[in-house]
Formats: sequence, structure tokens, C-alpha cells
Amino acid sequence: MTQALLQVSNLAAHYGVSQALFDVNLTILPGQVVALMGRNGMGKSTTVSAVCGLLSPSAGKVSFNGHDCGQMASHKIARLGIGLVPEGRRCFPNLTVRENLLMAATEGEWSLAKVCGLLPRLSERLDQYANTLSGGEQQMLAIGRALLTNPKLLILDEATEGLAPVIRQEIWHIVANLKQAGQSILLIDKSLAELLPITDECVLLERGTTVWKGPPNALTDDLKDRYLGI
Amino acid sequence: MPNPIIEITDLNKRFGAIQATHDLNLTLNVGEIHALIGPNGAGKSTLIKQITGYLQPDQGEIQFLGQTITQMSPASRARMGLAQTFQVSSLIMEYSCLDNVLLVVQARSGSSFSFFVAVRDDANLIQQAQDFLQQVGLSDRQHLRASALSHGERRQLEIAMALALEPKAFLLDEPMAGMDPAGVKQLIESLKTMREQAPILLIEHDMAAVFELADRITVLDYGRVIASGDVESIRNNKQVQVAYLGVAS
Repeated sequence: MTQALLQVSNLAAHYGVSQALFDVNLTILPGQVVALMGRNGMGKSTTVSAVCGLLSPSAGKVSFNGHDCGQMASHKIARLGIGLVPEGRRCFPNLTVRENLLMAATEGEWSLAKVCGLLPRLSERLDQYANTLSGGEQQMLAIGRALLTNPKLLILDEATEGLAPVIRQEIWHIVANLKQAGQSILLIDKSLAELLPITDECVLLERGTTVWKGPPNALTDDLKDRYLGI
Repeated sequence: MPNPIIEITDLNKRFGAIQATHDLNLTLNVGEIHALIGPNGAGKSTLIKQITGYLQPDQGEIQFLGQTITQMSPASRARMGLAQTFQVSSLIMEYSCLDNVLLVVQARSGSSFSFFVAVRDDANLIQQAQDFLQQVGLSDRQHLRASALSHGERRQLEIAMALALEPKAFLLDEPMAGMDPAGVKQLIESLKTMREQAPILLIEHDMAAVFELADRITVLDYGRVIASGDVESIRNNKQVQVAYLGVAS
């Protein structure tokens, strides 16, 4: 039996006194693309924060590539091989584009030249500070930065948000190519038309709890209506 | 004859070598939704910042309600009735949703000058704030801190705060970013109602929403207007398809 790359079991987490996650369960096998779905406020980004060590779980288990990382510091989890494109970009405003891209870069398939080829707008702006970029350009920078970590697991949390349609198409094309190349990916995105064709497994969250898991073709209209409001 | 609420004439703004706004002319008319689209970095948010006064143009003129506002402070423009939501949320994160909206209702109503009733005890102000939260579907979140909201919900809260200003024009910078499909559907319906209250200048990359809502679309690239017209003319414009929409849109 294939060992899971990421295993999240019975995960619970709080923001202060308010509980955001109650019972999240999620498995990503090597090479799998998993979509974490649910309406706004159901715990998708909080789950990502807990997986990446940005929020300490209050119960449950997070295991990545055989390491128990539930209480591990976020930088150590990143070094295990998780590359995150966080919701809201979170670029370093007072570093240049080049510095943002290279700060966590590791040897591997993705190089600065390859990222610049993928996102040419960044190559025009390498020596500009990140806080001088437009919102969409900062989004591109966050994607490029994550790819340059050459991660074992790439987490894209609303990675196409704020991008022009033509760039979004390009990003989805790249995600499909990454999947073809065997990259494991956890996806959160509202564009179901683009998301579902490249997804192996969907995980539905409702009020911080995993309520359904299955392949995209088993995602019925009833489930979409009940849990996604579509 | 269209009646412009906002009229921008020959606007220019440069950041070093980058011409972010280039001889730009644009109007926002009564009752309309005018969408502003274009590639990332085309100068859309820079234009909004010049309209709201957070950036000074190098040249050109901006008129609002027939008055030249080019040199006015952002606060003065807001008091005249310009309401803005931001591409990146700008809420008071430690405050509850209700308190965030209450602050705007209080500022607009001038009740901050009342010494006799604490704002949090003023049933009339609270009812108004709750009504605005209900309009954007956040009634059940009213007592949560803004920091506990999801990204999409924060956008909804910003819309509630813009509504609470009861403005003469809305400037909405990517209001649908991060919203789930149900939220987008709800916001589209809200915007259809909001346009009756005041015209909307809308920056948005969700083209299904733009095509459903917009009366006019203006397309920017490198700070210039490359096309402007109704939905059909923009959808079929080859230059816009290549620069922005892509093949499948």
C-alpha cells in the first residue's frame, strides 16, 4: 500500500477561544492532486495554516512524508518540502522580486530562469521592490517563490485570485503539467471548471469538519448545492 | 445625454520609468456599472487611488459631482460621497463585524458628537449597521472579529462598510476576489441593487460577473485605454482577447 505524503487525521484548531476546525481528515498520496473545497469560512485556509505550522493544532495529527509535524515550527515543515502559495500573497514588501524569489529557493527542476519564463512579467521587474508591484504581479511572485522551493507538496490557496483571465489560463495549464510530471498538489480555488478536470480527489469541508471525500465525478449536484452553494 | 458623476480628463501618472496612467479619459455615469479590466499591472488600482486621492496625478483633472477634486484630500472626497473597497482588505481586525460597520454608520450620521448615548447602545445605529450586514449576508457573523473571517467574508464586510457610507459613487477594486461561487452569486445581485443607489466603477477579473453586470467596459493596458464599449464589443475585440481575455473566455 502506498504511503501517504500528507495525512491529516481528526484535526482540530482554535483562533483564541473560537474553534475553527473540529474534525478535518485529508490524505494526499504521492503524485495526487487533491482539492479542498467548501464555502467561505468553512476552514479551508485554516486547515492549510495548521498543515504548514502557522497555527498550532489543538487536537489531531498532521503527518508529512513520514514526519509527525503537528507541533513542528513552520520553517521546519517548509524544509520538509511543503511549498505554499498563501491566500493574500504575503510577499516581503521591502525585498526585491529577485530576493523574494530566491530567499527560499532550492536546487531542482524549477530555477529562476524557468520561473521567469513562466511568468515573464516578473522578469521585467526583478529589481523592483515587491510593494511596488500590482496585486496580480504579487500573486505571480507568490507562485514563483513557491515553485522555486521545488516542493514535494505544492499548496495553492486561491493562487489564481486577482489574476487576469489569460494568466489564469496559463497557471492552470502549468498546474496540469505539474500533475503530469508527478507533482503532489493541494488546491483551493473557486474555479470549479478549471479545478475539477485536474483533481484526483475532492475533500468537502463544512464548519471545520470533513463531510465528504471522493473523486470529482462522484461530486453530485446535490453535494455542490449543499456544501458549495452552486 | 449621459450625466457623469465622475469625469476624468487627460490623466497621467508616472512611477520612475513606468507610465502607470497615460492620457486617460473616463466617465462614470448615473445608474451605470462601468467595469475597468486589463492585465495585471495595467494601472487599474493606480487609477482608483488617484480618484480617491491616495495618489496625486502628475497631470490631468478629476471631477466628481461637477466639482474638481484633483487636489482634495482622500477624507474630503469620502465626505463628498466616494466609497471605495480595496484590493487588499483594510478592516479593523480587532473589531467585530458589527463594530466595523457601526463605525462608518456613526461617522456618516454624525452621532459621534452625541454625549448622551454610547454608540454601542444606540439601537438606531445598531439596527442600521445590522441592515447593511444583512444585505451582504453576514448577519450570522456580526459578533465575530474581522480577523476570524475568511478572506471572502472580509470582502463582504468591506461592501457592507461601503454601503453604510450611502455614497454617491462606489469604487470597487476586485470585490469578488476570494469569494466562493455562492458568495459571488449573492454579490452580483447586491451590485445590481447598489447601482440604483449610486453608480459603480468596478475592477474585477471574474469575467462572467463583469459580462453579467457591466453597462460599459473599459480596458487598460500599460496605463492606456486600449478599448471601451459595451459587453459584446469588448468580448469580440481581438486586441482585448489577446492582451487579457485569453482564448476560451
